[in-house]
Amino acid sequence: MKKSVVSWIAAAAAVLVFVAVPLRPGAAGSGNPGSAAVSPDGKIALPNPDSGLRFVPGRVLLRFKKGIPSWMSELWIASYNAREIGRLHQIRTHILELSEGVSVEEAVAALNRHPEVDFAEPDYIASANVTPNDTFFGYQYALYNSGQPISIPGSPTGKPSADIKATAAWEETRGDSEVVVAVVDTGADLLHPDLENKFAGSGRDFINEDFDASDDHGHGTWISGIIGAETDNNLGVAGAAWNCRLLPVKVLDENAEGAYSTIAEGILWAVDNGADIINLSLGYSEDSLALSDAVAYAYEQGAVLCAGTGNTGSAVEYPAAYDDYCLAAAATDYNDARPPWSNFGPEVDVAAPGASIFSTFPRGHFGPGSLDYGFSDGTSAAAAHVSALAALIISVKPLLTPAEVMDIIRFSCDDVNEETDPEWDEFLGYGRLNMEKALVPIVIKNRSGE
Amino acid sequence: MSRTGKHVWTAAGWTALFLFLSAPLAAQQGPEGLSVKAGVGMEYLNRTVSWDENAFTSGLKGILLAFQAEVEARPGLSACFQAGYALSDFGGLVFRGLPFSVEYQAGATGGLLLGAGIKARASASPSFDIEIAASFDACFGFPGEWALEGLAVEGSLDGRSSWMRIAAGPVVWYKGLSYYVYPFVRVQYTALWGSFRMTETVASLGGTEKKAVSGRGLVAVSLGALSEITEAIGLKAEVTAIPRSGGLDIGASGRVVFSF
Repeated sequence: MKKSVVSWIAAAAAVLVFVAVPLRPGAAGSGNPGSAAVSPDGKIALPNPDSGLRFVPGRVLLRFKKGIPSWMSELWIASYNAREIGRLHQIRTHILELSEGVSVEEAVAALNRHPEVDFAEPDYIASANVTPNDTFFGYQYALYNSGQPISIPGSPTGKPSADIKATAAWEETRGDSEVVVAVVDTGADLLHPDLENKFAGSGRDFINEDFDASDDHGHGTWISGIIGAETDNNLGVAGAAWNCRLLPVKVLDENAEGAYSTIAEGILWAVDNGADIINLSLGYSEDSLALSDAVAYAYEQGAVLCAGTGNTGSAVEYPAAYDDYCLAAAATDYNDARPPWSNFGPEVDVAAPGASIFSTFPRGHFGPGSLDYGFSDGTSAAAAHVSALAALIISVKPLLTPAEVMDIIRFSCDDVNEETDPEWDEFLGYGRLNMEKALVPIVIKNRSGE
Repeated sequence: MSRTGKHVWTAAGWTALFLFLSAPLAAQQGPEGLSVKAGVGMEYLNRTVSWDENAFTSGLKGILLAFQAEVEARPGLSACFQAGYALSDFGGLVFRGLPFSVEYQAGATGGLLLGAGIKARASASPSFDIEIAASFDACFGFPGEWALEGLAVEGSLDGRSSWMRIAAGPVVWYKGLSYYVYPFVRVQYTALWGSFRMTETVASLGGTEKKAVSGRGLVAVSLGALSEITEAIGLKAEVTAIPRSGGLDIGASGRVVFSF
């Protein structure tokens, strides 16, 4: 008798194991009223109310399979104490309002178990990506390209999404004010209304040998605005590294020229004075041990260096060509195409918008009464966008090494020229910058082993 | 053989071993007062968990399938053990310590479930019995592997989750309903801890993050009933509610119990 009972248990165990076999990971919800989080047939992954997913309370979207008569679907809806409050006729989808107290998660789980139901899902709430209120944000296609005119009415329109996805990335972070980007350039307009609150100090001027890095050319102010103009201040333009601060280091004179020794001095000073990122929107065709050593020193001290490849349509210039230490940024335009002037070569790491980039200019630069903003082109702007991304990455992951930050920037790029040059290529490197991929958590939905 | 298939066979192996070891217990005629029960049970686990020093919350949902044995050493005092297979879904957990942040939404992963418990009758009357029960369960997840898609280079994730749970508290049985159905109320202190270790590899980039989670809500109230279909076979069902700040977690379990 006892043996028979044991046999009975063994049989039950075998049945249970048999039943469990089809339960591959993720299929736990099959037939279980409480197993709302798992999707037995891939119809839907239910929202977890605490995971940050937002949906309209008490509302469910429902579609029946084709061939279900309307009287039956109405009966179904009524049987769930639900009320149809709308219908998307073209896609045969009912908008249902559930009775008070009925949970959306449970209703969706229950509905999805019926073979007559094509799908049931919560009515999720979408929101616009972070859009700053800066007056000229609409001209900054590089940050968000909706296909808008690039400048004045009648100017070319860009290709939607040919941008660096800044607004989506800002959902994750707008940067940390402790993170400092050194702009080693012509200086900056320290009193520009869109910049004055963003400087970590008055910087350093290696042209005039003082501590007032005022800009007497305009290039450094333009670059500073791209990286870190004050954002969401109802004024001017938005900086890609929204909250990060700027450290102006003047190494180029009023003609935007500077000796390698001065540039090296500026790089060394920047890293020794707290720069986390060093933007080098400058370059020349000749290699230099001094410049190379300065770049290597800054890298070894923990700074991320970003440089433009050059605007002569030829080989990558130095310091961008210092491959081990410097991210070399080529340019794209508002259609994600490479402008012919963007330098190329094996050192190119990534690309970023560099054509028709609207940013800050020194006050009075275009004459009395004119706007303190303007357009310009160049891989300088591409490098500035890359520096801004590096600043945002360091803001949320301060323990990463420069090499890791550089890899994240490289590997998160969109291969926008993959039709002609798949994977890495010497024109756009790994592709055009994608701040969203670099910063926003990537959702893992595929099952283990798939 | 697929990874899932291996897991199922591993679990089947453990359960077979469990049955093998418990068979002599069941087969032997115990001393007076010693009784042995065996059962198969299924539980729907549903707990809200918090992580990153309670800054974020997500859900831990799972299906637990287990073989259970209960030995009553002397009247009113028994110990129980369980072993089986668990599917655990940590959906919504976000790993921001990896080079590329990831949000896990890839469903349940399998694991080995082990547990033990003890219960003692505190008082008995014609209508009510009061027991004090305590239990410990642990799930040791099998490793999983996921592709990291959408990047300029190939990337992958390797991860493994585990959790453990303790519960202790009184159970009040009502015996006045009928000979066959015994409803009960259980009030327990319950705590749950878990972790999910994830390793990311993207070309030359790599990183590992271990995310510790803990269950929200510390008191569970359960309502259930044991129905004795025959002298040897009973069915037990239970619904558990765990109130927490901002909501309620509802779980359920059912089991078939064989008495010897």
